Amino acid sequence: MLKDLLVQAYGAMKHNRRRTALTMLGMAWGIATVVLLLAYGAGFGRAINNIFANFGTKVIGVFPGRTSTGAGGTKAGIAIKLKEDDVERIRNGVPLIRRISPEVQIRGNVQHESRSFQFSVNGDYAAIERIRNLKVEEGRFFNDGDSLSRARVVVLASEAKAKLFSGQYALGESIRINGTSFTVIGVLASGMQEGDDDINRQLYIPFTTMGDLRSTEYIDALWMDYEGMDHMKIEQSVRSTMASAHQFNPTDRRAVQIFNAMKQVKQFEIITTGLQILLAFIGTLTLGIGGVGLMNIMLVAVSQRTREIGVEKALGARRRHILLQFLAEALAITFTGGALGIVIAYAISFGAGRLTLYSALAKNAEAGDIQLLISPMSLVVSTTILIAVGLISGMLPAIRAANLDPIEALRYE
Amino acid sequence: MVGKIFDAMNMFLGSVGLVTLGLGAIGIVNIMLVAVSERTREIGLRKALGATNRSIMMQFFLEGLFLTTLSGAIGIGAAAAFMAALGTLPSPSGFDTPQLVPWSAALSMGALSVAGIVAGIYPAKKAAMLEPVEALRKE
Repeated sequence: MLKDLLVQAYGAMKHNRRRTALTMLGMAWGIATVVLLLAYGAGFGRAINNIFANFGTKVIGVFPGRTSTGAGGTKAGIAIKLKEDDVERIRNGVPLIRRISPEVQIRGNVQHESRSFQFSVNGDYAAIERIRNLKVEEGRFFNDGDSLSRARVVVLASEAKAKLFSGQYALGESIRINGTSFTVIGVLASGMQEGDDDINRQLYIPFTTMGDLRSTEYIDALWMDYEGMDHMKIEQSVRSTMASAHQFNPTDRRAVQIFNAMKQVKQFEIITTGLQILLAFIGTLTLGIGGVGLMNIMLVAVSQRTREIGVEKALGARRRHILLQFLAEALAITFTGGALGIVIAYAISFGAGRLTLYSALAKNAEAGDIQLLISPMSLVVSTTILIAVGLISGMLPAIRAANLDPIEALRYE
Repeated sequence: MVGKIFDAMNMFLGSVGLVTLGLGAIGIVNIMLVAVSERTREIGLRKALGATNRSIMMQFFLEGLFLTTLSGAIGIGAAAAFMAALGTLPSPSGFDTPQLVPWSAALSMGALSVAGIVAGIYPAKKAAMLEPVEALRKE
């Protein structure tokens, strides 16, 4: 039965080769567009994720500020200074905080042999490696042991290493920071660098060792990451912990400035979702155009074969036989075209490679570009759309054919 | 710098538009080919009654032009209505309401018209080249 249907459909399709080929091309074109649009959406989401992962997504930074409202009898405009004690306060006050590190930063004169540059030097706990998602390419990051022993060790970001050492081997070498000598123990992998950002020109030394270069009584920043998903609640409890320690109004958003990476991630997630919905919508419309073409051709086929239908009915074919005959033809075109289209989509996605997104803005940002990702999910979605389009545009002409009156059909010229 | 991202985005959306346009053109070409070859007998009859090749070509040219212009106008009208409807909705901050770009509307309509007219004239020409008797005999 099924075989008969397919043979019949094949015969009819072969009879009008050009027409069938064009209709099939339309369907293939449509499905390829849907698959590629979904792939673009998925690739966009992946790129955005990579961009944020570069910096760490579950990161909160706290920076000193100045009060803008009075609290408990004090005037506004008091500078809030952060101290290393705040690390302990936040750890006790906000249990969901996983790792935390204070940071003290100086602009230092960094020297190796005859080369000398001005770089930012950061004094941190060893935990900063995980918090800020710093990737060590060679050697190692400093650890808690180095901090305890106030070791004179330094980790260089990639560009700082390149400037100081060019192509030479840096590990174990010694450099001078403001005249004090440090041993290089690690070099970081290049991070995505936007514009004049100096993320790749930083040096990291243990917080304790920083005490040799500058007073660490007041710190420049607190960096932390956290468990759980509720980034806003954590930001709020960090703020209120700091407020009670430093006696400022917890609703005063300028007393300490808080950078919450997840907030930006969430904003971009909304954009990504919006884009994906838009793209799926465009894709469906596009495939719909192919569907209209298919319906048109099937209607023509029905009216051209009215007499054939009349004969079949006169010989005892039931309505459902006729219906199935035309539906099978439409679906055969749809699925052959669909399979062809998916093959085309794969070919294009392999051929297209990376599409510029973030690398227009930043160096080392290839991971922040859009790669056309054909996921199983997008194949399922597009096949579903394809089946719907094929059924709708095949059904109408098929019903029309099935409802023909045999005598009228036979008389049809 | 940021301009490059928008360039990339424009390129992408533009090529999606072109692809969609191509898809529409395939549909038009296909149905015009069928429609005109179905009218081979009509063409034969006209020729038998004294129509010249030119007048037949003119007939199909005008038909194609009329059909594509009418449907193009409907499409652009629908797009404008949809955008106007979007404009009344509150849009998220930073997003402008979409606007009809005249040259892209003209480009898409022009491309579809050319596709439709060429696809109509080609089989018409083939039919007009036939001897009227042959064309009339064609089933």
